[in-house]
Amino acid sequence: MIIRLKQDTNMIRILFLLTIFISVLISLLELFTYSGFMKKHLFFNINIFLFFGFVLVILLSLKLNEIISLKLGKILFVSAISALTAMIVLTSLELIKYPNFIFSVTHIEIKNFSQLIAYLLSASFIVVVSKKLFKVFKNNVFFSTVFVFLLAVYIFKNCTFVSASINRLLPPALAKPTATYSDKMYYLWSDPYRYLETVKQLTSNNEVVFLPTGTSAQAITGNIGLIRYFLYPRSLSLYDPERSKNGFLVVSPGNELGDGDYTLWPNHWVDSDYYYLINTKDRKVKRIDKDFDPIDLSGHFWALVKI
Amino acid sequence: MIESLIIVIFSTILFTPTLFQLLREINQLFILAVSFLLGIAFWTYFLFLANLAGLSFTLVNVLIIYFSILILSYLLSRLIKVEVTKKDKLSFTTISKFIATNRIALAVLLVLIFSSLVINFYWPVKDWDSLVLYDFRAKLFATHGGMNEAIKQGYFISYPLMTSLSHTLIYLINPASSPMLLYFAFYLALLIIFYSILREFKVGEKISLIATLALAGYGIIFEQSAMSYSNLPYTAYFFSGYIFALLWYKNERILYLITSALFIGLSGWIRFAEPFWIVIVLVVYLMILFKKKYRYMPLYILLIYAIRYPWSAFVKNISGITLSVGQNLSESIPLFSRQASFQGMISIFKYLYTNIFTEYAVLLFIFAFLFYYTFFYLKKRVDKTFIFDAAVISGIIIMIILGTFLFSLYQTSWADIGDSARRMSMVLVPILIFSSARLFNIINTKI
Repeated sequence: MIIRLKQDTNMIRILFLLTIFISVLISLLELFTYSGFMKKHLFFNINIFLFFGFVLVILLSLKLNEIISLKLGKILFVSAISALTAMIVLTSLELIKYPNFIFSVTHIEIKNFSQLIAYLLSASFIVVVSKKLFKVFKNNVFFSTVFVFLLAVYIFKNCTFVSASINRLLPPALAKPTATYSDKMYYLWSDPYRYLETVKQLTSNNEVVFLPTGTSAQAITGNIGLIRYFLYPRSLSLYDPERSKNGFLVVSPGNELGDGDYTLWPNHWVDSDYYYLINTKDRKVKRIDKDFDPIDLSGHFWALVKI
Repeated sequence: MIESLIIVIFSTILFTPTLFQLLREINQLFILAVSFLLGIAFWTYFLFLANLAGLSFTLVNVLIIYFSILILSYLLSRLIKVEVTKKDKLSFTTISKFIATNRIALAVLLVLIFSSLVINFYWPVKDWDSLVLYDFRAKLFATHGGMNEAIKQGYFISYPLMTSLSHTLIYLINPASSPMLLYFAFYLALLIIFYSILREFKVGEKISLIATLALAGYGIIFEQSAMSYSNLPYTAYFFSGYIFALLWYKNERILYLITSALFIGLSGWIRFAEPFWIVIVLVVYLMILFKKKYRYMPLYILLIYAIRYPWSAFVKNISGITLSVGQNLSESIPLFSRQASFQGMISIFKYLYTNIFTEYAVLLFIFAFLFYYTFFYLKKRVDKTFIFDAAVISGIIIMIILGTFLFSLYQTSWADIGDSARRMSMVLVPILIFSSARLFNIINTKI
């Protein structure tokens, strides 16, 4: 049965609002649960639903009168801006509080706001411009629908990306405007940065520092190119048990290749004069005057061994 | 941060008087943006040449070079006489008009620009490649006054020195300062040039503004505005080089063609390995053929080559590596014919699909759709500038595909750096949006 929809009836308005409502609801669902919730429980990705939602919204918006379209567009736009503001405020609050890395203070999956903002902005755009573009494309439903759909996807994709970018870098500026260079780098580079900052304090400029090799730790603490930025002018070299002497050996989270579990590198005894246990959270350093043995380091992941 | 601002202002001042004299038919903001791009590039470029001649990187030498360029720039503006025609205007009218009419688009654009400004103001240099290379080199240049220590540290010759030396200018004033504001300036300059050039091509105010918003809010462009990588500056110079070539085609003022060559040459002072400049040269040659101004052909390529040559000669001198595209290509083709396999091709296409096609597909579809609708469905008269746009876009895509094939032969880790390929391809973004906006303007015009 083909239902021919007339121009701007209550039915159109209800269908339009229902489509928007369900899409927003689905976005909200992942906001209050977790990313992938839809896929796990309802067997389809959220984007597939939004894809069909966009097509329906475009087709329905062609039937709405211009005054209603403009009003709806404004409401959706204001909702998008409100969601963006909420995202930035919530992330800033999160930064002021101590992060627990398991759930947010408000129990909201803040990063999923990006999708909601992108959807609201795209829908706002569709409802405002689709009828105008319909005229631009000389009332050709196919061309105007395809074009509006492409633009909606463009907005959705880029808005998701940009709002996520803003949310990563703007809230720290608002939550901690007076943060030092060290605080900012710690926020981005986490423990490795705090550790390297401490290594710099513990070693003189002419020391040799030996870095992890052949391990998962190599990605950061074993990357000479990256680490030299923080430790220059100290000489850096990858650790070789046979040849590496007279310097400091980096001990960091990681594992020997093939070891499986994420533990400590190196995971074996090292003949040493002394070593420092480094707590990257409170920057406390404890000197231990004995050979380095990973068994003694229960709970600690960062150390610097004098060899 | 104030040091970055000083460098941005000083760079802009370098060519502003000259360009006000020479490019007076385009609005002031455009001239300021172009001045900044040319200023910072030539300042660092001559700093590099002076260092090769034995002058160390010190604040005094930096200022000597600065004032030398300023004097040369001034003399140049006195030497070249520009006829003032009726069309010539110096005004901000194009910027002031849209404030009343397109408030929402302008507001969103300003939110993006302001966010980028705050982010750059707050964060120091923080991203991987910059810590490994660009900013690290800059710190060594400022500390040691020369390039030797940086060369000794290795991984030096991969990229030319424009972004590093612009950081050095800041570190010479204050070693603890952050150069991030420079990247905001590149972002803003690109947006200003983009908007102005659309208006110059008679695109309506509203469409120009929305297209500029589309560029400012394009994910990778916005992301790069807050990163001290070389991709955004490269995109700004490359796009400027292309649009100046289009301006030459439109107005036949030799000055535009020279500026185009300067920008394309200077894009090689930011990223040398990308062969996209060849596409621009071929398209410009096509323009020259249409205009039958054959004598400009050697001028254009010579200018580009003159700017590119010192870096390639320097690399050859310190490492023995030849950066010539022709030579690399001639070595790659036999290698390709030996190693190419069906399985390899499939994995390369998968890589291109994942990292490049999914990133730029929507934009490519929008452009292709509008191109088809305008010239095949509506059968509008084909403006040759759109053929040039399509040629540049196709050329870049072909280069990306071929480049990936060849790169996969040399680099065993080629498949791990998809993100680099994605960033490298961002030169497509402003050209695609620019062309799409112009196409839409044609469709929207009721004639």
